[in-house]
Amino acid sequence: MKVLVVDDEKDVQILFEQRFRKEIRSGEMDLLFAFSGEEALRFMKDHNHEAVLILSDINMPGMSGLELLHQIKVKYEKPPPVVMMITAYGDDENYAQAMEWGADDFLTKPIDFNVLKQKLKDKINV
Amino acid sequence: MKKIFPLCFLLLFLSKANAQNKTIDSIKEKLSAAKEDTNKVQILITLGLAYVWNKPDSALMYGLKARELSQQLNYIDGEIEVAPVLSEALSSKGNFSKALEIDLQAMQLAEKNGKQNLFQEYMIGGVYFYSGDYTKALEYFLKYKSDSDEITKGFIGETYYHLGGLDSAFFYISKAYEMDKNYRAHWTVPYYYMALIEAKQGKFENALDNYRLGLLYGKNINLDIANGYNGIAVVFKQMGQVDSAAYYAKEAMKLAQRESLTPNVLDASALLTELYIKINTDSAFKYQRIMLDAKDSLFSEEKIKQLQNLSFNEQMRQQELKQTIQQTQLKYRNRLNIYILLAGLLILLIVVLGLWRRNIFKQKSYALLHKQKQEIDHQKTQVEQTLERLKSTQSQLIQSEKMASLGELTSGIAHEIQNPLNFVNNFSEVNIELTDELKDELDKTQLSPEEKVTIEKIADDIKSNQEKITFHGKRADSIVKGMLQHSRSSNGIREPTDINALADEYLRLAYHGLRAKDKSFNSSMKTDFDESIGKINIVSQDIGRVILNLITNAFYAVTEKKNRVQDNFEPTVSVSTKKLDHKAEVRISDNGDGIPEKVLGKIFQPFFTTKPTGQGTGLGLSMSYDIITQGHQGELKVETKEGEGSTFIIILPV
Repeated sequence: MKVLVVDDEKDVQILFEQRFRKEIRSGEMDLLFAFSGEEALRFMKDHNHEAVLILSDINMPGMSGLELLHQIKVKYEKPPPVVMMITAYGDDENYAQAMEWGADDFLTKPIDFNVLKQKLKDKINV
Repeated sequence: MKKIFPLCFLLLFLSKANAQNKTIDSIKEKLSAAKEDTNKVQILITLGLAYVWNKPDSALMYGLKARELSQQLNYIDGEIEVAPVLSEALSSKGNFSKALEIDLQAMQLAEKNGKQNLFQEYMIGGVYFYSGDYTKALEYFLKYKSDSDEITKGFIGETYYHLGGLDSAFFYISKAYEMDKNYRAHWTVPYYYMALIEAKQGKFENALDNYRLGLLYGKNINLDIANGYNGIAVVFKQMGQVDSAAYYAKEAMKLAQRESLTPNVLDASALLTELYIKINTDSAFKYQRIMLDAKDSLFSEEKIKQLQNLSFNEQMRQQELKQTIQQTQLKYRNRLNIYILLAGLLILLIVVLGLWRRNIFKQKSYALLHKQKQEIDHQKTQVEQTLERLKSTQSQLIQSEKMASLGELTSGIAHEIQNPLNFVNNFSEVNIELTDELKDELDKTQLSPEEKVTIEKIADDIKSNQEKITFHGKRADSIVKGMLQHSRSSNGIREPTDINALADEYLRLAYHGLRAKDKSFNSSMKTDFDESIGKINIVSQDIGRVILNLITNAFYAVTEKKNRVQDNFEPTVSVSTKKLDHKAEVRISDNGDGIPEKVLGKIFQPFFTTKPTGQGTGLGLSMSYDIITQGHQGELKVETKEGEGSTFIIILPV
């Protein structure tokens, strides 16, 4: 399963790689990283929609996570990938907007990786 | 024509004349000694009066002297007083016209100088009497008739007699007669007229007696004697005693001739002519000649008298007319005065009315002003109160603005902190896992057991540290979560909620929540719900959170106290509701330790807490305060007493 993690903080890559080290080692998951919305879109285009699941931050310089969500869910051909929003700004406004534009889930930071792992497993199984 | 008795001024001078008759000589002595002054006038008048009915010529002489002197001295009183002397003397002589003239002149003089006295009416009456106008004379006498005045009664009586009213004449004459008997100074009128009335009634003897009485009283006055003799003569003639009649008639005539009392001469001669015409023609002729002479001398007088009468009547008429005019004028003037007075009164009334109205208006204005002043005062007080409220609201606003900006700030901080916190927590957790993995990998190596133990020990320390980092990271996370919850704007919808049910539900929730955490926790609970509140419009989730918060705090307070005091303490938390005027009140009380005064002002501030570090965020009451005051426009108050407990009061508008 290819998972694209979009976040402007580079440490996210290390954190995710360490957190999912067992899944990566076992080949269960293939983590890809983009550090901006634009980069994520480019990646999706270049890699022909390899990622089946996108985890995206919302607050990013340039294209925000919500815009990215909008681009992916509205402009890409079906079936769109699963998009889960992960943000420190878990306020109602963001939540409502994310849901409106078709986010599949909405998680708040700090991320509880146990919960996230469970959700990912659920998505894959579905 | 009947002899006219002297009348007008008899009253004035009768007693004077009688008394001074005897002393004419002494008066004459005084006269010779007197200077040419008013006193001499008085002496002359007195002398004139003394002679007036005895010797009219002498009286006339003194009277004229008195008048001359009065005129020289410009002594008006003297000139007026001498008039009766002159007129009486003249009328005694039969010169009525002259007498009338003098009376009129005196009257005019008196009138001109404002000397009209009480005798004015007598004088006018007298003039009419002389002129033979008895009707008029009676009119004037009656005006001044008085029960006590003998003279008046005499005058009225004799006038009635001449008018032919015998009964009336008798009435008045008899009264004057009775009065005269008790009077010291007598006069002849009552007696002679009584005699005349009696003679008419045929009581001749009585008539003679009265004539004799009259003669007795008038013995000093020639006129009275002449009149008396003449009267007696008439009575005797009526009785048929011709000789006696002739005797008295002759006596009367002699006296009259001697003192030139011409009317008496005429009366007597006429009587004698009648007496002798059948007995002695010669004598009759002789008397007739005397009679005719007298008549002749009186004839011209008669004519003049008539003229005089006319002029007098005219004068009186004019006078009356003048009086009428004067009266009319007076009436007019009076009426005018009344009108002016009325007009004045009216104006005064209007002015008073105006003033009154103005006063009323003023009073109204004052009342209005007073009312306005009160209103202004009231408004002022209100304004002041409003200002106070405004000030407190302003400070509250500033406070809440601070709080709001603080809220926004904390919200921003909180959100941003979550990013680093994400790394801290997750990396430390990964580190714990990695440490375990490190220890697993260590077993696989060929290191000596001592080395392994040393490395293992270090790995354990790292793991333990990582666990601490994780713990404190999670703590920071819960603080941040609390802050976010606090700052999160409620998007809850208000709906009618049973506040009693809500309070009861959260009371149980709090209790069981705490019981789940701490098995040893226990507290008694009391509820007192006012069912009349009904449903109120609130965001039940938010209010529930507040109630939960307050109840949790209460339970915390009583538990703290229980832990400290142990025995003899029954931890109690009570929740009550009450319906107020357009408000609902929820009270949450505990019997814990209460809130110290020095921290009472800070309890609603964010991050303020009395709980040990890590047990409370200090955001509960702050959040509750915001929900109640800003979210629901209500009030959150606290009543506390150190050592006895606290009560938090939520007041919500209904």
